[in-house]
Amino acid sequence: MIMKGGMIMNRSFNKKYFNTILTITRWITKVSVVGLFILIGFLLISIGVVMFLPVELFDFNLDNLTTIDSQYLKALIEVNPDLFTGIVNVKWQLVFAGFIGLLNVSFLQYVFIILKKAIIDVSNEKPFSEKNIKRFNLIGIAFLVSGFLFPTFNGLLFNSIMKMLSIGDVNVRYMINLQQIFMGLLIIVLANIFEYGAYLQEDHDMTV
Amino acid sequence: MPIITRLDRVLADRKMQLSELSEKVGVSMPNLSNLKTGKVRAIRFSTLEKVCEVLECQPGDILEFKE
Repeated sequence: MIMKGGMIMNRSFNKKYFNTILTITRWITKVSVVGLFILIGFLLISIGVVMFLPVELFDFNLDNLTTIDSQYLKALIEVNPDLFTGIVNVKWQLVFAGFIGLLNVSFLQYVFIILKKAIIDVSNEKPFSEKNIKRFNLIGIAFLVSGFLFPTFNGLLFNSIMKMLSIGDVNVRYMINLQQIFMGLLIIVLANIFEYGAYLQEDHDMTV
Repeated sequence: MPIITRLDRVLADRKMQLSELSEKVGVSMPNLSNLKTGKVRAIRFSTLEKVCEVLECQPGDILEFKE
């Protein structure tokens, strides 16, 4: 318990610990923003290079395909050599994959830039500002939209690869990313908590 | 707002400036000015106690209820 203005308070606030956490988070977001800008640059250059190179350079001999490294399944899959034969052209699949990668990285960059601004406001002792409420709402909506949008693009790419490999009757199931949708909802709840905080802050500021 | 403050009247009676009251009570000038003009939402008992102590008055002298 602590005394404040003649009143006994049951809560205390460890400002030193809070400032340490804020500093670490600020540095992580700064480094991430710079890193992601570099990554976006590389992706744009790569997509540009692939688009302007001749189509013939992207012929891939499927007889050379012996294993598939699936990051999604976290497994290295051995491929039946009789299953995939012939030569396929992967130029537009590469461009599409690059575009999907660019979209993912841009989404992350958008979130980190907004988060960086929010943390600056919190560091300046204005956590419950109107701008911060809007920022968290935007991040939440971005996560919600990405939960529906990114699986769509991934599905389209996978569909295109399946058709290119002429496997046969393959149905690509469309699934939403529940983790991102749940994250989006949580962040929107957080934005509403900040809005309540703003109301309490105003109430406190208007109390003499 | 039904609760109105008569701080200006009491200050005039005691011939005290708002700045002097601010110094003695330990509340900032902008906040006291807001109290005087009725722009505050609430007043803490601790603040009311200090104001009454300095102005040597009752809470009812500073606050009035008007429907």
